[in-house]
Amino acid sequence: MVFGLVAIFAPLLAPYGPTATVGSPLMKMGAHGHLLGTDSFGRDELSRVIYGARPLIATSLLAVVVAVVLGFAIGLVAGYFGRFVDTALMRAMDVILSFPLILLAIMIVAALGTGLLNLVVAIGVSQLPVCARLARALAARERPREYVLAARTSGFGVVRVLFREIAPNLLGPIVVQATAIVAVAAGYAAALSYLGLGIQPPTADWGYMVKEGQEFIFAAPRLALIPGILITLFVMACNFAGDDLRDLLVGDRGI
Amino acid sequence: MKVLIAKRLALLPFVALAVATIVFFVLRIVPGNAADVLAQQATYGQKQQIIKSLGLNQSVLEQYWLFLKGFVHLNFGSSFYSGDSVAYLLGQTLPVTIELAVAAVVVMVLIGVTTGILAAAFRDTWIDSGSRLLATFFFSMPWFALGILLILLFGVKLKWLPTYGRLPATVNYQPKTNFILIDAVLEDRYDLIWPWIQHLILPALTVGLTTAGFVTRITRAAFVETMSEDFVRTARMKGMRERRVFWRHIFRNASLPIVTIVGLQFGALLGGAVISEVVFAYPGVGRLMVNAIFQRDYPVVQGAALVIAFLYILVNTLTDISYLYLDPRLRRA
Repeated sequence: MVFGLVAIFAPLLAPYGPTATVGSPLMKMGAHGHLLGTDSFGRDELSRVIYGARPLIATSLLAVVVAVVLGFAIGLVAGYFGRFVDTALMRAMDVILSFPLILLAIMIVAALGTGLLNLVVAIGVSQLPVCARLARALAARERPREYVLAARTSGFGVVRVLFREIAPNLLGPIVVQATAIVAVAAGYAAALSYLGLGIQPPTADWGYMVKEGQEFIFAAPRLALIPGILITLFVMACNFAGDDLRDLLVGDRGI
Repeated sequence: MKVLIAKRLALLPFVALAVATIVFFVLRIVPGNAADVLAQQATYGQKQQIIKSLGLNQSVLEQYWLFLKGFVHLNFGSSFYSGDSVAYLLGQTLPVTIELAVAAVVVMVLIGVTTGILAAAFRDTWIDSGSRLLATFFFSMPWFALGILLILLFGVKLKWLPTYGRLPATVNYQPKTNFILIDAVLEDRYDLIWPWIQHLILPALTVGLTTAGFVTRITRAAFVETMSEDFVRTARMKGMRERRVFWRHIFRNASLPIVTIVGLQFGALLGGAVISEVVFAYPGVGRLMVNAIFQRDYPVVQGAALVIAFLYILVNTLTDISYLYLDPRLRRA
């Protein structure tokens, strides 16, 4: 929550623009009113840290939307129709899963080029099978239920049965799954950005800021450390939020 | 049992083919083609030449066929830039990545399983909640963030360990197999081992710690569940020694989900290895691939991606086979 608010109100909170040169390079913390000092280009580090939250949060949330919507649709269709459709779709998902997922994301970005949208696609696709498998299992469970039969005998079309009758009943578990994926997606987004495959400089972005900071790790360790810690906190917050939500909805502790 | 293993192994070529196909097509969804990128300043004639020399003038299906043919002969083409064959580059880097992966698995299993067992044994005490909190912390930590933290702590502040590369530049090392341990034995170069280990510690810790969190969780759950089973109580009632109850009854039954999660985590582990190689300038396949991406050196990217994916499939197959040894009940299937 806090992370989201900071990201949205970044322009109000940040004392300077994220790409504006406001002082001499590598100033110490607190010098000349720069709370976190300046980076190697003399940009205000605090402002960059505040703005840097935006790409990470945007990418991870959008990627989850892609993964959940597409994966949900695929799983629903596979689980509902069964037989050939099921086999074909789920084998396709298995093939995606036979990759280390981050490798798949790296490959997609390598092919499509960098940029926010490509990043979203890459991470979304890599998480697709996870959602599809869950949705398939759930849909297969719902199919023989009476209300589905009733809807079908009422002469509703397939699309209506799938998305108006079955889908709403599966939302709970899917939402839980989605929150679990946010943390993974954020980790991937940060990693790709660290590799230089994310949002391109000079835009402030935590992952890449760690990379830039690494060059000055002896002179100014804070430049790499602060965004690194923030990324960790963000992913942790997502994990805890996911766990809490699951406990709330499912009501058991599990693993 | 042999039949089952044979069946599992027979699947390998098919999975390999599917994976190779995906790698091929994903890398060809590039808008435009590699020649456009390579030949930005070239004249039209030069560009046609480049296109021809890369075989890009053929249809995608023809290219795919050639790719598969080359693949069977372990011919992955050669780098657009250095001209070195991709097979040679992979030979240089793959052993390095395998070393790192093995070291990381050791770290992951040692730390994950011990903390998991401790948490289960001291259930609902501060040891339990503490280890779970630590587990969440470490698997929330992106690989590179932990890498940077370790560099800061052990490299910059304490100055205990080197923070980049695989061996110090002053060491004269002519790779033979490029596995340091094997070379050390073959060529009597035992002096290589210590600096190699020093360089390996931080990357291996980075990958191992971030993946250990899951192992802790699963181990704890598996042990808690097995310890409350009837057969454990029966064993105790028979007056069996506590040590024997633990190893023969609890550990063996709880090990199944642990092996599963180690196998599953191997994907994350390889991904982590790719990133850590970049963080620590460790000369493995991951770094080769990431550098090649920036140079748009597609044959190298393709070869590296294939090798990493195959390593992953191989480990998953081995995991499946190891179930059969651990759980005789599955052998009948």
